[in-house]
Formats: sequence, C-alpha cells, structure tokens
Amino acid sequence: MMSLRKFAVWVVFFVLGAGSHVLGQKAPRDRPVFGDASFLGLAVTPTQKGIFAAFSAATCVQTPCSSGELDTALSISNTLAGPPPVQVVFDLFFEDLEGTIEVYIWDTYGHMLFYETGPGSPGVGLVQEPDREGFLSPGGTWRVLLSQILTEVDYTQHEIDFDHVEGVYAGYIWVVANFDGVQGTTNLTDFATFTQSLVMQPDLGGVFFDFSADAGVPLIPPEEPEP
Amino acid sequence: MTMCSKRTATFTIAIVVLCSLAALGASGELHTAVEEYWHLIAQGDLNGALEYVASQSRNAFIRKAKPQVRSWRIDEILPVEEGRSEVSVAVEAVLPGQGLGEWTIRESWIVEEGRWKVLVGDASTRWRSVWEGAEVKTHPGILDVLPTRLRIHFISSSQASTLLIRNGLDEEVSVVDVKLDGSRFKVDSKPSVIAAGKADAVVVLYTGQEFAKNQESKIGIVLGTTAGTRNFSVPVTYNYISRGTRALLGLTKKEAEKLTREAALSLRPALQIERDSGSTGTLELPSTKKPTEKKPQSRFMQ
Repeated sequence: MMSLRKFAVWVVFFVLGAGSHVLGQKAPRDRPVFGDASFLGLAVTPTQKGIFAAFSAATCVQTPCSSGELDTALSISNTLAGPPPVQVVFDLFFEDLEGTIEVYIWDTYGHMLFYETGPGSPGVGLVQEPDREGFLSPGGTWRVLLSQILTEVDYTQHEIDFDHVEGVYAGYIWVVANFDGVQGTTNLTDFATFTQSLVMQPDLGGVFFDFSADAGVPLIPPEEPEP
Repeated sequence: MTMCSKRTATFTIAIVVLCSLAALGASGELHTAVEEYWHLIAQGDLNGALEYVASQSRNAFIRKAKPQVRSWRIDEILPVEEGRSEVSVAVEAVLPGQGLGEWTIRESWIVEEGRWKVLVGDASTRWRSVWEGAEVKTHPGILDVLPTRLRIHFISSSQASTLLIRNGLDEEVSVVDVKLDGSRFKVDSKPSVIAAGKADAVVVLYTGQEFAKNQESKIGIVLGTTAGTRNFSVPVTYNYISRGTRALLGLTKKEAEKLTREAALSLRPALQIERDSGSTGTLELPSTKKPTEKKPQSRFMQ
C-alpha cells in the first residue's frame, strides 16, 4: 500500500515530468541526435541499455601483467539508485533495476568476442547470490580489467587463429546492461606512468524530471519485417 | 635428577643467549644496510642505492619519484618474521610541487641472497586492486552451486560457462563427479577438492555442432562430504541468444534462429536507436533503420 507521502511525491514528479515533456514539445528537434534519443526518450524501461567504448587495449592477455603492460580498466555503474525522491521515480517507472552485464568486444580484425557476467566473474562489485548471479545492483559499480575478461573468453586462442601479436588486444567495446540505467568509463593505463580515461557513450545527462537519469542507448530488438 | 635439570637449564640459557646474539647481529646488519641505503639516497647516488633494493621491486624503485632528501633518521626496526623486518624512517625532504616536509616512511626489508634489501612499494599494485577481483564469499554452513540456470551463449567464442561451487561448510568438500551429456558438453576444468570456506569453479564447454537456439539440458554435480554425497542439478540453456544480443546486433527472432556459427563471428553492431517523434509524444524507430532495409541478410544467414 502506497503511503500518502509517497503518493504526494509521485504526483509532484508526475506533474513535473509531464510539464517538462510538454515544454520539450514546444521546441521539437528536427532530427534524432544520438544523445538526445536516449536522454529524452520516454520508454525508460527497455530492459537493455547499451554504452560504447571507442577504444580499448590490453597487452597482457593470459600472461601475468608486469609493470609497464597496458590494460583497460572498465568501470560499469548501475545508475538506478538515488536519494529518496529520485528513488521513488526509479521504483515507479523502471521495471528492470538490476541484471547481468553483457560485454561485446570487437578487435581490430573485426572479430567479435562475447562475455556475460555470472558466477565467479572477474572484477569487483557484482552480486553472487542464487538467481542473481553476476547481477549489478542499483548504485553498484562493476570494476574489472579488460585483460581478465579476455582471459575468460580465451582470446589467445583467437590470436593463434588470426596470427595476432601474442597477448595483445586492441579494439572497441559495446556494453549491454540488462537493466535500465548504465554508465561507464574506461581507463587505458599502464598503472604507472600513463592513463587515458574515456567516458563510455552516451553518458549520463539531461535532467531527472525528464525521466532520463538513465544513460545509455535503449536497446530494442528489431521486429520481424512485415510480409 | 638435580644434576640433569641443572645441565638442561644451562643448555637452554646458552641457546637463548646464542639466538639473541644472532638476532642482534642480524638486526645490526639490517641497521647498517638501512643506514647505507638512505645515505646513498641522500647523496643522490641512485645506482648505489639500487644495490640495496630487492630484485622484484627494482623497476618500482626506478620509476618512483625521488625526493631531495635533506636529513633522515631510523625511527624503528620491527622484526616481522625470520628474514623480514619493518623499518620506519623519518625523512625530511623537498618534494617537487609540495616543498619541504617531513614524512615517516615505512619500508619492508627482506633477506635476499644473504643480504638485507628493501622492498619498494609499487603504487600500481594498489591501483590495480581497485579493479582486480575480490574473493568469492561463501555462506557459513551452506554448500551451494551457482548459477541456478547455466547459460552458454551461441555467440560466445569460447563456448565455456562456469559453475561456481561455494563451500561454506567447516570441512573440505570433494568434487566426486560432473554428470553431463557427453555428446554435447565436456568438463574443461574442475577442482578435485574445495577447502572449507572457499569457492572454486567447474568450467563446462559446449562441444556440440547444433545451431538450433535456446536448447535445454542438465548438468549434475556430485560433491562428497563426511556425511555422504550431495547431488546438485543445474539446468542448462545452450545456444542461447539473449534479447540484448538481438538488439545490439540487429537480429529479428527469425534471423537469430537461422544464425550460423560462421556468420556469428563476423557480426557487427546494428542497433536501432529510438527517436522522439515530437508531436505525438510517442516513440518510433526511424524508417531508414528498419531491419528489412539495407541489411546483408544473405551474409549472415544459412
């Protein structure tokens, strides 16, 4: 049973959100923009959200990373936690507040590698409980090294197949979160003298009252073509 | 009897004195090594100081910023174990960008090839720990196997999936058997025993050649405890294609059903981006990106 206080907060947010949407209609955009689509869309619960890292690299796949080796430190956050008034909005309007994370990696040879978080996943920050194995909770951040993921997907096997330089990977990444709000950063680093930090796109932006606290591209599978 | 006790006491005292002298000698050697090391640092003789650095941390020493040391003194030498001591050194130095200050530096010294040498801390190790994995936690008294459903993705190049056994019992558990459909799966790796309070993984590979999607099977795990064996059964979905995969790679349900392994290797992101239609306040897919248009289906389909 919703308390009177919660109901009042809900009404305030509804009015503000609806008002914001009406104001938005007064100045319609004439073309879809990548960032706008995710920030201003009202379909806030598409179940999957995607974010993109334009570049990543690792030079110590399945070998001990000694000093001076390059790696990419990924930090993927579930943004669906906030202070009480915002949390009410999340709870009311988002259906998928937590879930696993799928990582799609394309190396410079165009070869796709895939990894989904689960029991015993590398890194820090994932839930490991029955029916929630590999889940990232609201407010949580999965911190993991790309070399660890590449080791899990046995990247060196592909290096042999494709005659790559042994233990070296470079390419781009799509992260698909099986929940409705995701934000990420990549830190390309040798953990000593060099770090390049990139925010994964599209990142968190817009305003809460537009129901758009969720970063990432809403991902919806295509429908079957009409006959 | 009294004579014997007297001899034993004398022998014990002699041993204690000898040990103390040896310890004093070792401590003296360490004190001298620390003094010489810091003297060389203060003189700016880094090559000389490098001789006092343990071999595994020489690169860390070379990379580390070198303050301009004005004075230093040994505050404390604390033996931790045989061949290892913690040393506190108060250093007055000029740090670039910070100016003159005094810091207490705590160092680990170890015996390497018969000489005391310093282990230089590597910031990268601490930094790495932000991302590198924590140990899987177990629940006291509970022996369980995760996940509750195993999924092996069709597009996974390794075709591997992990079953995690968490042993929260007070005793060691043995992995007696892994029962699976041998025509489709094989065990890639499994531990023989799992220590009390620890977790370990059984890695299962899908080795079948089917491409029918979202197929079902089961994997059984038999674990041995002192009370007998315990059986765990985990349902498996193999050749699994997730909704996220279809959305990112732009596959309709039918296209996903027909996807071959060769075609899966060369898939590219083809996501559909929603747009705000403005006047209606509803969302629709841009017509130019409907899946029927400009899609090289023949390349991906069997």
